[in-house]
Amino acid sequence: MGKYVLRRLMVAIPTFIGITVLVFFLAYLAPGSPLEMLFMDSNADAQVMADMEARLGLDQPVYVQYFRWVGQLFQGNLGTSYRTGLPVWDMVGERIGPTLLITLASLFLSVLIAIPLGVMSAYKPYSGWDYFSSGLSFIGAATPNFFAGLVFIYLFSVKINIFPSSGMYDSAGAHTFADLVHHMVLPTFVLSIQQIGSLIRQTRGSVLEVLQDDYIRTARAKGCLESRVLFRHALRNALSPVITRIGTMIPFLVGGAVVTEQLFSWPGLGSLMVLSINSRDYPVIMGITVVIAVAVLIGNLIIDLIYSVLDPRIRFSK
Amino acid sequence: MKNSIIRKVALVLMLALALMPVMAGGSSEKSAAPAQPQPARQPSKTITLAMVSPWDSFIPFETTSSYSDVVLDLMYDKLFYLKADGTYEPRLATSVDVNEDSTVLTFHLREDAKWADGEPVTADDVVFTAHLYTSPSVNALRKNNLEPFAGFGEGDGTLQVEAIDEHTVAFTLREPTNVDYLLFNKFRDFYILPRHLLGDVPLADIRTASYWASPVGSGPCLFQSQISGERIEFVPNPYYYQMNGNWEKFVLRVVPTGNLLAGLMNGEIDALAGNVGSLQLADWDMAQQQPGLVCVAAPSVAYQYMAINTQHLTPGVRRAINMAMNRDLIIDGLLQGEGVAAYGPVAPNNIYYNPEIEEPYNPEGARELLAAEGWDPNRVLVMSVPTGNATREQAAIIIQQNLADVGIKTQIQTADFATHLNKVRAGDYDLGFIGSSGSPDPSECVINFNPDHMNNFSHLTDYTIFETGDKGGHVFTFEDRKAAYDEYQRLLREYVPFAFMYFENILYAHTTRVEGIKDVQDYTQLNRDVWNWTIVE
Repeated sequence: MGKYVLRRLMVAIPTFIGITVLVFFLAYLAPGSPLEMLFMDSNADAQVMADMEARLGLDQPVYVQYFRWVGQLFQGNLGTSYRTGLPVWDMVGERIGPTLLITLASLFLSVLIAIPLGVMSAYKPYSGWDYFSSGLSFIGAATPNFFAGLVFIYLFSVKINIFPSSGMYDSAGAHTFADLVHHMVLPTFVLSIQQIGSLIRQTRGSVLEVLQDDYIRTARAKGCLESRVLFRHALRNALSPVITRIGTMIPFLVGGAVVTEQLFSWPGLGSLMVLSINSRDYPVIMGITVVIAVAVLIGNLIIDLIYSVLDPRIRFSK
Repeated sequence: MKNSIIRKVALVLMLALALMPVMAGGSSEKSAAPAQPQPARQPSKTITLAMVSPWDSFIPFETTSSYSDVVLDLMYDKLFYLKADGTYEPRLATSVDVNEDSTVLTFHLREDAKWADGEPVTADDVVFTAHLYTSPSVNALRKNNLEPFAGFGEGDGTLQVEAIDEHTVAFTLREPTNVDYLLFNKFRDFYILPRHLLGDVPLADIRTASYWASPVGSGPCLFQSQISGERIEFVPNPYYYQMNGNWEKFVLRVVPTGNLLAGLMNGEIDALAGNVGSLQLADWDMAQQQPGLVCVAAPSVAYQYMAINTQHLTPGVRRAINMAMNRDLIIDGLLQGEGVAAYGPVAPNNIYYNPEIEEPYNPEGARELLAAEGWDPNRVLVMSVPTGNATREQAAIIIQQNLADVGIKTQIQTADFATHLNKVRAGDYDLGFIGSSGSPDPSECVINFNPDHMNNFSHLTDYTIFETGDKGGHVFTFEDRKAAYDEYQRLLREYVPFAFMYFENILYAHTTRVEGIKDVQDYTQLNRDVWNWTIVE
């Protein structure tokens, strides 16, 4: 097991370095510099701009800037934002909690809804239940986040007025946990819709395949209860591809959070990323990239480990 | 076995629930006063103001963002309250005197103005602020605002600003300059900072001073807490000298444009920020039908224009482009009447407006001019359009069609604003769409025609337009200024470095719960009189 973890880590390290190189150079290759936006003001001065360029080190070649950034990273420093003048660690630290909150809640909600629907769908294929959950999965998978968000805001904020349309808390009330959950409902559902759709399909296909296997027939022949056959024998063996799918959902959830956070004014990493890209705030772009890359790599590692526990053959394959 | 699984699931759920508040508030919410206990019941007299994008910084010399200006105007006081009609009202300064040869401005400050910690605001604070903004070690982004004053950029850069007494401060000018020009162009974002709280901080460390985490200003609002990028919460400055409102808490929230109406309708928002938070045209009719909303289409001094690369196109072709633009179609069709045609940077209702600048829609005349210039109908012009303003993007399509009608082919290239601005500044474009927040003072756009300035978007090499417009800032009677700006506007029509398009109304709304909101157009001058806002239950 230890060797397996080490092997996965050895793959993760060059992947992480590759991601940082790619994002850093792509960000710098994009036309427009951070100073363009800061000095849009008609009273802006070219000399002040040149001084600032030198102060921020933006007059250095791009590879020098990259290695300087890597040097800072090794010292645990992600640099200072060009836009706000604040340490990037502080900015990312402030935003990571809200993003984790809606992405994890969304992951939890997706699993909670999709797996039972997928299992039931596979258990009684081509039944009314199956058509209902398959239809739901197609609609879910095909609905873009921004569209679902607008519909939800119209229905639940404007028409029925039971959920707020943006933000984390009410203005007048105290910042209570109940208030937070109330504000989380719409963004979490919106972020979950696509994932629920694809996870239902994955679960249905996987369970359907396992249900044809001999050991299921054997279990039934031995007189096992149907619920035991379904949830203990079939679902457990069908879980490997489902868990892999859940693993691949993590980057999608983070990506989807960019749109969802913008739409609901949710103060997470996604909305900060959009703002930072628009203002060419390279240190913040890189800071968020590091955090997301590490989160996704750790997420994948955990999924790999779970996968190897569920299917021991993986640990021993080269 | 089954019970064990249920127990494990329950444990995970409880752990997740326990962690939620930590993830939500523990890391992201910063409070000004950790020592002060949170009241059990939050004040119900809360006003929520919405703008569409977040602020950058609480440090006035570290930002040029209009969104940050909303925050700064609430926290820090300014000398005057500037109005969109070109007049100004007392704020921290009760009056301003100008000496006989217009080389010294003397501001008389209120004697009852205090910082939110109870310390008096004095002339020393104004002197400290001016010196801080112009210090070479600080290198403020808006440092150039103080360029007209003696001492700027000379020697150690110490500005000639003097505290005459505790409540009188004098600024010495490098050359005689018009006071209106200075107030509207140079003092619009001059936020006064507290010497008693920042004076002992070495300038090299001023940006990282702990003060900025919870600034104590002398404006109407005192910072309480923030959720980065989502909201800032304030309480009233207990010492603010002109507080008439009855609110106990003021929340500035960031809300996307598309959610503004929903927020107003369900009571999440009380008022919009105006120039940096107004309704989209698609929501305007619905907003006007809501019983609990007060809707105002306020004329704005902000305008949209198309910079024309003067190095690529001759004055004749530029004038033909100006003639070919059907502004009425944009106003009536695209803006649904919520705006007026712009022929120059000065709005038609401004006393300095020169009607001679108007270039009526004349496609026939444009064709004739193009023929006289020997225009090649196969030439394709690059029309660079920034994303982020849907109306402007649609206006570009109308103008593309207008130009095609007179035989000018164009190719629209859209890009995000940073990329677009880079192209325009580099001259890698023919026609470039840009917006300006405008000003009631006619000098606002003059700097864009200075060939040496970084915002010389049309890449002029001739100083005539700039020098003519700049003259208006250095003459002192209305007649002399009018004459200078009349000539400046005439030159803009003749040389067409910019083809101006429209002034778009601010589609403003607030709930009937809040009273005292008036003169929305003044918000373009980076000030809001929130001290007059009152909640009616």
